[in-house]
Amino acid sequence: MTAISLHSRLVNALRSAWYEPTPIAPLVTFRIVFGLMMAISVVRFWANGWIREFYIEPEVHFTYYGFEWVTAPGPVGMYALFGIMLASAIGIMLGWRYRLSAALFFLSFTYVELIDKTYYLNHYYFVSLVALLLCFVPANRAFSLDMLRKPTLAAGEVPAWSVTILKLQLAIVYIYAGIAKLNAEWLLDAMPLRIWLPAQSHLPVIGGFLSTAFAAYAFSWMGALYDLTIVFFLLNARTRPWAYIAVIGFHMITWMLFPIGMFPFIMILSTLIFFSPTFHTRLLERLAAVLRLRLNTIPRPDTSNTTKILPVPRIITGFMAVFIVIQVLAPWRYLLYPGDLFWTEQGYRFSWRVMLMEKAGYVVFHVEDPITGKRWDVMPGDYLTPIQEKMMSTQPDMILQFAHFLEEKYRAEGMNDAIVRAEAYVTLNGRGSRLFIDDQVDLTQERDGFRHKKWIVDLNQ
Amino acid sequence: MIRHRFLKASILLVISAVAASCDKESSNSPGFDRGPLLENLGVNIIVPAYDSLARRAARLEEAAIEFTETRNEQTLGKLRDAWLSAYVAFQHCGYFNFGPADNLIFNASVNTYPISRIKIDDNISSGSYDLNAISSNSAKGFAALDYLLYGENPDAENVVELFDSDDEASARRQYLLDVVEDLRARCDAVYERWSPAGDNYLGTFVSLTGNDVGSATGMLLNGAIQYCESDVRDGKIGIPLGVRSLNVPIPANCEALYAQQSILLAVESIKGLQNLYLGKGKTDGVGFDDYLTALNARHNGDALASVIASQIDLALTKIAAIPEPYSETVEQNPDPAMAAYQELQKLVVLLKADMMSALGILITYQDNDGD
Repeated sequence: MTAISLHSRLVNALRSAWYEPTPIAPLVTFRIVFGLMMAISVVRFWANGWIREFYIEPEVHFTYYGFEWVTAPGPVGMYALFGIMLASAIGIMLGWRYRLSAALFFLSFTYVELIDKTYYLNHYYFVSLVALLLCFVPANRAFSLDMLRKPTLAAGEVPAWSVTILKLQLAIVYIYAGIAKLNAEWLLDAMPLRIWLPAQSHLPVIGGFLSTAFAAYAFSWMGALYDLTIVFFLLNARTRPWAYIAVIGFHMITWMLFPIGMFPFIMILSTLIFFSPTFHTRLLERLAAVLRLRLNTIPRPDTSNTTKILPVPRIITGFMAVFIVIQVLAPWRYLLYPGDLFWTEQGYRFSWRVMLMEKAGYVVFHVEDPITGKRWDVMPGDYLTPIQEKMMSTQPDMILQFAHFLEEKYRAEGMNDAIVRAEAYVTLNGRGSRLFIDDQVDLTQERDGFRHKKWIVDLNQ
Repeated sequence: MIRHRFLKASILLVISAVAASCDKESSNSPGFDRGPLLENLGVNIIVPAYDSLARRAARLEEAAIEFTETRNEQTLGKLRDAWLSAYVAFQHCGYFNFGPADNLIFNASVNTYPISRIKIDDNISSGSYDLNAISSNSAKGFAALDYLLYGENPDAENVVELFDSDDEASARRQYLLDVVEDLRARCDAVYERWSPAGDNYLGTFVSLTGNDVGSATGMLLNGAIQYCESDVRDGKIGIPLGVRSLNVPIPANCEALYAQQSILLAVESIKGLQNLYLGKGKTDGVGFDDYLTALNARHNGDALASVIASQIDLALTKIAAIPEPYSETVEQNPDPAMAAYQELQKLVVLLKADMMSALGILITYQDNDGD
């Protein structure tokens, strides 16, 4: 094969994956299941009392660097935000005022996530990214309430990018989750599964097996292999049915073993997008039959009239290219920092590092009045909820934020320039707890940012 | 076809890698059954501890009745002994701050300190009080008895006079009896909840073998470690020492302030923790040390199980070395107390970070993807 023909084949493949018309059905299924799962997630979050517990009761929140302006808007505002989230998720599902719904969902969900990094989960990040993508893809052009409002919207086909971009998004999640597992602790020590699996020894039938080192190694290696390869097996029509069984099996096991919430179900349903348009068309027809919808909800692809095909604005292609490039690069930013990634967590978030470490810590703050020289201890539990305290005690940027919170608190009480030091001990993946933060450093003199935090004690010191 | 071959090759690779690593590893983490652990903790430690407390509280009540009927230094001495004996028994129970104790708000309703002297004096003078009100927690319990039986002037002759010939002697006797009865009833109630002959919470406890927040191990450890932090390290040692109050000692916040038994009680409480950790009741059974050993948990090269056991010993030694009365020590000779506080601090780190992490116990119900 010559270089030119390879090049032209690649260009052709890209062109067909981006510009060519493709049946809308997979996109419609995705829209419906995503909207449904989000609506259920919001109701579950609400019913668990988490809106109050996570966003109303805490006295202080840990904002993200650069997003300090994001604040919890009080009880009424919080419930309103979740109300908007629920309504817009249903709007996405039904395809009602679809673009507005998608935009509102993206904004309300992302805003809530930005309030406090304590609750950061990769799957919340995934939801934000997908919600952003849904603002752009024309997923309401079939099987939607918008079509009833505006019949001219109906389209049997959409440009291929709108399906491709969602597959790409899922591919990034899985492949990077797999790459993240290619480290010595995961593969050679079977950590942290060797801690987590034996904790499940009470489970019937498999409990005993889970306590064995074999189980920890098997789960670690299988998990890495699954994450790295599943997308390719889903892309291939011949392997797809088996791959999908693996998807269900893998995520159900994680759901049984870990308190992982809605994530397994979201992934099981999202990966349906890899199935063929024919599969989705039949699925939707069956759904229409069950719901007794008589309207012609799924226009058949109209191959005769190619002029109906939507052109792809350059700005969308450009935006999606940037979107993907950022995501492809972001997980590697940790290489710019010295030290152990799991220990310092510099460049850890937004990188699909899931279930990778068992980390726990304990931190006490020593405050000193620079004028009188008096020193005393502050227990973060006096100001934080248990989950905030737990998360803060192992994450340097949060420890720094809390030190600044204390400085401000004492300033309000009339003590300027209180000196705040942190005495923190952290245990990571079964190593004994050891000093985490330089306990001589006055953290009020340190600023958060993207620069290396020199006051994190080296893991192997 | 290429992919099929790749798949087969990968699976073979995984199986051989796993098999290879298993040869040397499989002996290291045999399964640990939490059932016998819970059984031992419940049957051998928790229920007997509450049982002992209930019995001693009953003897305390008898002694109080005897003293109010026959008021002399001898009956006062017996009452004081019975009080201290029950107080010591309570020190072993404070850690079980979940389930029945949590529902009954047991700890706060029998051992809130410092008490409010004003409230107690008012209650005696007015004769109108409701000991069941939450606001009464600072006017009853072991600490209120400390004030009543010792008070500002603990001289026995003086205390007998307060109960015998003082203007308010009769009201004071009634208040003593009411406080003792309330205490005894609460100790009975929490024992009843646990007892197999009563509500049998023991049965529930032993059956919750999971590792989540609502499991027996989860509830017990979350409650016990919380108690160790705020009630033992801070309450008994740190707060009187001033570690939470701009380094200004607060002697009035000592436990058993008037009887000057703060350190004795603190030592007893660490012994309670030690028994819980080692699974030691009437017999030495399965404890968390055995659990950690079974998991082969390490701490910087040593076995975590023995690191924690040694740290408990060290904390115990350091606390025992603090001179009584603690209320004077915190102001005049704080160094031994600070040394003890620091060892307790290290102990809390080992329990809350290392042990909880090694046991894989969850602390909240929140979703978690392990990052």
